[in-house]
Amino acid sequence: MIGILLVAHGDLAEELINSVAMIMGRVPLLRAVGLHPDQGLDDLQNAIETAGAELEQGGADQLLILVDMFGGSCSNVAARLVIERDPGRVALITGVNLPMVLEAAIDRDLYSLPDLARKVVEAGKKSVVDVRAVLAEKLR
Amino acid sequence: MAVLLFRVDDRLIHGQVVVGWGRHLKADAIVVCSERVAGDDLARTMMEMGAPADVKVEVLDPAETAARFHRNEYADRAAIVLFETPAEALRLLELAVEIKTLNVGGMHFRPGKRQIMEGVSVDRADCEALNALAARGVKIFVQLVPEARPVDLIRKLPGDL
Repeated sequence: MIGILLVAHGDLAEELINSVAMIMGRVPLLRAVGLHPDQGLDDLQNAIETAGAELEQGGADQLLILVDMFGGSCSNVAARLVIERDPGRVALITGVNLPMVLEAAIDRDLYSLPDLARKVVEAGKKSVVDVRAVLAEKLR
Repeated sequence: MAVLLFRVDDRLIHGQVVVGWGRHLKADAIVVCSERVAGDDLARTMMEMGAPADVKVEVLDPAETAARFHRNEYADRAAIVLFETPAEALRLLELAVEIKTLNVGGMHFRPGKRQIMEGVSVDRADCEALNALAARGVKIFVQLVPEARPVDLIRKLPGDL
C-alpha cells in the first residue's frame, strides 16, 4: 500500500488527519510531521525520515509526501530526500489541502504512485473555486 | 432504483456523505428528498455543486421521489437517498417506498432538541417519526461514516420527550 505523509508548518498536517477522520474515519498508513518554531531544518529532515521509516515498517511499500507550500522549508527539505530516491517509490506534491488528502486516501489502492500523484494534483486544482462566480453562473 | 443507503443527515450532501459513503458504496446518484430544498433555488444549486461530476444529483420533494421510485426511473442507478429529518423518511415510506434500513448520520443540536448521542439530537417530532418508522419494521442505525460501528438508535430514544 502507498503510505501518505503530510508535512506542514505548525499543526496543519496533524489537524488535516483529524479532519480526514471526520469525513472518512481513521485511515491507515497516514502520518503527519509538523515544522514548529523551535525546530531547525535538520530536525525536520530527521522527523520526515523517521515518519517515512515508520510508514514502511507499517507496511507501506511506496510513499506519497504531501507538503503545504512549494518553495517553503517543508517542501525544500522533502525535495532533497525525494530526489535521491526512485520516482516509482516516492512522490512529492505541494499545496496540500483536505480534498487532496481525501483523494490520496481513497484512491491509493487503485493507482500506481505516479498516477495517484497526478490524481491528487488534479483534485487539488479542482477544489479551488470562486463560489460566488459559479453560483452566479448556475443561478442565471 | 437500486438504493444503497437511506440516510437522515441534516447537512444533506456534504463530505461525510459524498466521500465517506458515496465513494465507499460506489454510488452514482444522490437523491435529496426534501420539500424545503426542492423549493429553494440556492439550496438546490449548492447541493448539486457539492457532489462530484460523475454523481447525478436529484433534489425532489417526497411525493416526486416516490413517483420516480414507482416509475422505476433509475433502476440502473446505485443511489443514496438523503433526508433532512426522520419525518421525511416516514413520508416516503407512507408513499409506499420500501425502506428496510435507515442510516442516521447527523441530527444536530438546536434549541428544543436533546442530545442523545454524539451528532444526534432529537425533539418530540423526531422521536415520533423514528418510532413510527421502527413500528413499520425499519431498522434504524446511527453510523456517521462507514468505518464507524452502527448503533441501534431506537434503544437510545428518550421516553419523556
